[in-house]
Amino acid sequence: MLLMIIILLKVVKWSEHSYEVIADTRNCEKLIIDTQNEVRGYLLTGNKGFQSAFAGERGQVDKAFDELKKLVKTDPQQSLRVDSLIRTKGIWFDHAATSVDQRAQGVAVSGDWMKMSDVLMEDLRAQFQEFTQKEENLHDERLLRVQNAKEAILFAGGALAIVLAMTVGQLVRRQFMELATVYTSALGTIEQRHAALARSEADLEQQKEWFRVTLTSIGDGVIVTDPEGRVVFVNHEAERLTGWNSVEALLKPLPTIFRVINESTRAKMEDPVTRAFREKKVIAMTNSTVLVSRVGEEWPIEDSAAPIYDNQGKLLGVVLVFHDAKDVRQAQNVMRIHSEELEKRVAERTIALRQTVSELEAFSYTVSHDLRSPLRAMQGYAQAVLEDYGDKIDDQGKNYLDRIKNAAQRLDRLIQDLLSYTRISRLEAPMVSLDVDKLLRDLIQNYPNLHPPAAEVEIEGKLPRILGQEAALTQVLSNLVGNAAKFVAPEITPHIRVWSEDLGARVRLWIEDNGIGLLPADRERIFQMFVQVNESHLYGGTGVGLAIVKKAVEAMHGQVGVESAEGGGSKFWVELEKASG
Amino acid sequence: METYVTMDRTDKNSTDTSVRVLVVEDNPDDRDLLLRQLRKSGMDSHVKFISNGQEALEFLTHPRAVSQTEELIAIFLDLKLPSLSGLELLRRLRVHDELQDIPVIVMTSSNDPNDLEECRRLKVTNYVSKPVTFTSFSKAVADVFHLPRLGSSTEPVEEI
Repeated sequence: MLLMIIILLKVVKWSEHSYEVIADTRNCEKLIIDTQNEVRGYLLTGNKGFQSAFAGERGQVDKAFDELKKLVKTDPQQSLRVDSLIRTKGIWFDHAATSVDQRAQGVAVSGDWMKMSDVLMEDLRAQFQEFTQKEENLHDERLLRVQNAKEAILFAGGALAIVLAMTVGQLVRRQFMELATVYTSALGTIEQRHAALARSEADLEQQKEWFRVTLTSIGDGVIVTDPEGRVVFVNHEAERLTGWNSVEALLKPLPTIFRVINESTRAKMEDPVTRAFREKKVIAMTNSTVLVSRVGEEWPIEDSAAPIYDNQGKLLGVVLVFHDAKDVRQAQNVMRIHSEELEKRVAERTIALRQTVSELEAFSYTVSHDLRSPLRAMQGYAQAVLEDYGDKIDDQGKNYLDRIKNAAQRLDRLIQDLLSYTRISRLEAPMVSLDVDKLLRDLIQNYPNLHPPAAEVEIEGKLPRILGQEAALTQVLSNLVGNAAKFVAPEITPHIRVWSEDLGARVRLWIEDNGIGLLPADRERIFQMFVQVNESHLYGGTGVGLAIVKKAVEAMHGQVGVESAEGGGSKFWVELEKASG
Repeated sequence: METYVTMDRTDKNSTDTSVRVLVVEDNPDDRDLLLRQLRKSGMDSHVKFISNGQEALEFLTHPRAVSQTEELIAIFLDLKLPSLSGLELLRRLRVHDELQDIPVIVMTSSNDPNDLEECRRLKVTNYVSKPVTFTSFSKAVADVFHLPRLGSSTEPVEEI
């Protein structure tokens, strides 16, 4: 009797064990299905962080399977089944891990992954089913044995038996109660898992819908083809621009739906998908494409196409993205036309300006030539009269002839100065290193009026090299030194001092004289055209010389100025860039 | 001091009127003023004045002139000339077998850089600024004997 009770309790225990096994099995199955859904979701969305979470999940699933194996270790047949399950599970995980890694590296994951995964999962499911079936059968057998035991016990009869039976019943009931609790909780777990599965499937659906809505309502036209170049997806914008609705377009060759021509040549263009197929790379946007719709409407578009590959490099199709570029293209055209017009106008004006300048230049030489020859005649004949008929003319007559001569000379100088000014303004020579010292000494050498006894020129130290244009610098030096010698009171011998002042990157050349000097108010004015101060015209000034100096100095990116010298003369300075070396 | 070439041979041979210098100048004032100064030193008989380029070319290339041109020391040339410009005349001379080596002195007044560039190219011997005086004329003639014939020509010197 006691033995029977013991057997009964054992059987009950066994029965309870079966429930545990089944619950565990369900748990394992549920875990791996969850993982599969998560992997699918990740392959679509590429959520960051999943890759590391995935490894953790794998550990969890492995642990659950190991526990299941422990539970059935006393049953050799079920043990074998669990081993098989663990193997298949391992294969699936390896496969999934490869795809997850690929996705993380930005490689497109092919549809084949799904197929493979589905096959493995189907295998797992079948194995689980078989395993569970076996376990349930075992459970039923055990229950039957409990029933038999019960009956045997009842059959033993007697009060004791009844008492015993009641005791046993009590025990059994307690055991059954516990068992029921275990079973209920197992069931609860399974229901929870099913709900979670349903939720995750709903999430996936939601995600698919999200993608579909996004692609459909996106502002760009999107067309997706299969590997044969047949249309499998057309969004709203693509429908609007091509004039094809997605149902009609479905499975039609892309060139039928997407007809493109070159904007300027109007030649038929190869559709970007064909190119993407051939060149096996992303075809970039072009800006001269016109899409011709089903009804002949023309849309200037910008388009691009990208081939989609699986991890074996097999082409799965091409995705084509394009947008209406009518406004952009129009604006570009308007801009281009405007800038072309502007360039043309600038070019025309430049030519006209050059012509004017060159005409003016030619004119200035002609004027100079033609103005100067009568002046030469006036000078020459006045001189001739003075020389040949001087004895027949009284002093006043000679004085008048002198005045004619001087006036003619003055006008001649003015014409020459104006010509120099014009020439300096047009200087386009490059800046070179110039030896100021040599230039100045040569210049003084060439002009007798700068030698004693006419004048004394003193150069202090060696003047540095500067950056400038030789013609401009020569003009500057000869005008400044010439002025210094010219504008001096009649009874005084011109004394000119020249020195340099180092200013680091620049240098200042100083030219000091003992001449008639300048009023402070005139220091700025003096460099303007035709400005004569302090009765300088009496000394033969034309009012152009210093304007030439300023112009020439500015042409060499320099500055010029004047200060008063001790004792009434002037100190002119010219600041220029120092030449290196 | 400056040495002047004397072309006055009247003291030796009064019949010698050979042309030693040709001045091609169209401006009558410039011509007369120079002539007046030359006359004072008696050089005028050896200086021939021609007032246009075409005539000058004809004079230089005329067979009868060949003997005269052998005696020719220099040509003073104005660039602005009627009928045939000074530069054109110079160009013709430079390709002429017998005349290409004759020293040519250009009489300048405007220093047009384009003209000067062309003068450089045509190997002008020297320049004198207008007005041409007896002094500058004599010095230029004297310089002909010192300056290398054809080749490095000098820049016209501008007056301060």
